[in-house]
Amino acid sequence: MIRKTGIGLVVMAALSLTFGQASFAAITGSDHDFSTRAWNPSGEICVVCHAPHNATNAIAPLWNHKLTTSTFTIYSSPSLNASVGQPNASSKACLSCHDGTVGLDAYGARPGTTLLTGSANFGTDLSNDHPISFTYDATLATTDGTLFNPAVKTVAALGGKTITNGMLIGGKLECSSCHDVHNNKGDASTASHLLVVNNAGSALCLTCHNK
Amino acid sequence: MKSSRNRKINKVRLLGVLSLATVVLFYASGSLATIVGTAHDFSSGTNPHAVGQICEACHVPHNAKSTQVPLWRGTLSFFNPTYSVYSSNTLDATVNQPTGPTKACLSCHDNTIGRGPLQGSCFDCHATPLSVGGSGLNLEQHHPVSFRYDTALARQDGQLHDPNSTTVSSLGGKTIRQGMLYQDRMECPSCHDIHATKGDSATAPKLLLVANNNSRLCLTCHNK
Repeated sequence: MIRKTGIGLVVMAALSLTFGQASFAAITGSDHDFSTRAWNPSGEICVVCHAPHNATNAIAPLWNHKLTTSTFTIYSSPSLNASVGQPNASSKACLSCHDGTVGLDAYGARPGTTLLTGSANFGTDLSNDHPISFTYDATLATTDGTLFNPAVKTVAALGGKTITNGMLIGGKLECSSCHDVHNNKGDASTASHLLVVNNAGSALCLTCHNK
Repeated sequence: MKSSRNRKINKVRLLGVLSLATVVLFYASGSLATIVGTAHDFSSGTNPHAVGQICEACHVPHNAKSTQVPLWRGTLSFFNPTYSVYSSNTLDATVNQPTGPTKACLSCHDNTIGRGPLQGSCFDCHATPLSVGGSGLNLEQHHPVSFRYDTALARQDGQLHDPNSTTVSSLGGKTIRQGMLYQDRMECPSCHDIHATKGDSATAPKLLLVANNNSRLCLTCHNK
């Protein structure tokens, strides 16, 4: 009896260690789960971008990563009606890894030396990337003629929120309008782009583009 | 025959005891570590009220001055600074001035003269401020504390687990509300076990309640 109890306790202890309370969080195992990267000896996920103490709120909540100081070449096109500026704070947070000028490991007090490589490194030339950091409102939708009115168009995958409420940051389209940086909820398992809406049938593109 | 049976029983008992001992040792290595030797073990310090003592820096067995923290040595309201509290455009909680246990922590950790634990003594004026890692009176760059974290907040925010139904395995299966909140509020000790290192790795003595490998502590509440 004692032996059984003992073995039972060992098994329970092992199980409780195996199944942490965070096992089902969606950032875990996503492309933004850096807990096993060699450049991140902390073994943690959140700390690369956020810290509970001595952080800054100027960019994003409790921001803990070195910021890019790049000046970007921005998108332009003859058919573009929006007024596109330099990236705003929330997009600059993303570009602080994704422009390839700041180390992935430049968090906390670390200087950072490991740069992002591959197709997710956009460089500082954003002229060949979908525009960001522009106001997307009813006026733009009317002027353009092929965009939905963001104040009216609702998104089923976002619980019926409007584009303005569910996707825009301060009325502007930013990186996080399409990408849920903390989750892979909308994404196909084969293409982990961390999308806010699954893009099967280009459903994400056609959320805003009236084509 | 009888002695053979006894030997068998003894063998079973021995195995059982060994198994239990293994479990105890297993947990002792991380889960049951105590305040002794932690960053909060001040026994080798120069605090004249706690020479060679650990607990006395914060608690006294008699004539305690506050009921907000058990047998707290000082008077939490003796100094009553106004802190700049956290805010953010994604914050749904209402963050108040520090309350209860958080005030006790800030009695040292706001980096001003070590007023908290030693209030009402000569050390009100002559204590040594915490030299590093203190917050000052500006808490804007720190995770918010002293806010109500309930089901309504979790629903409103959409990216927080419900503290009434989310259980924390490393806290014996208690809910967040039972194991981490203080009168339904998140306070410093919601993340920090100030008396032990049980959740923490030996290399990062932050006195965490839950080990933060893979950001498990963060993701206990944050649904990301």
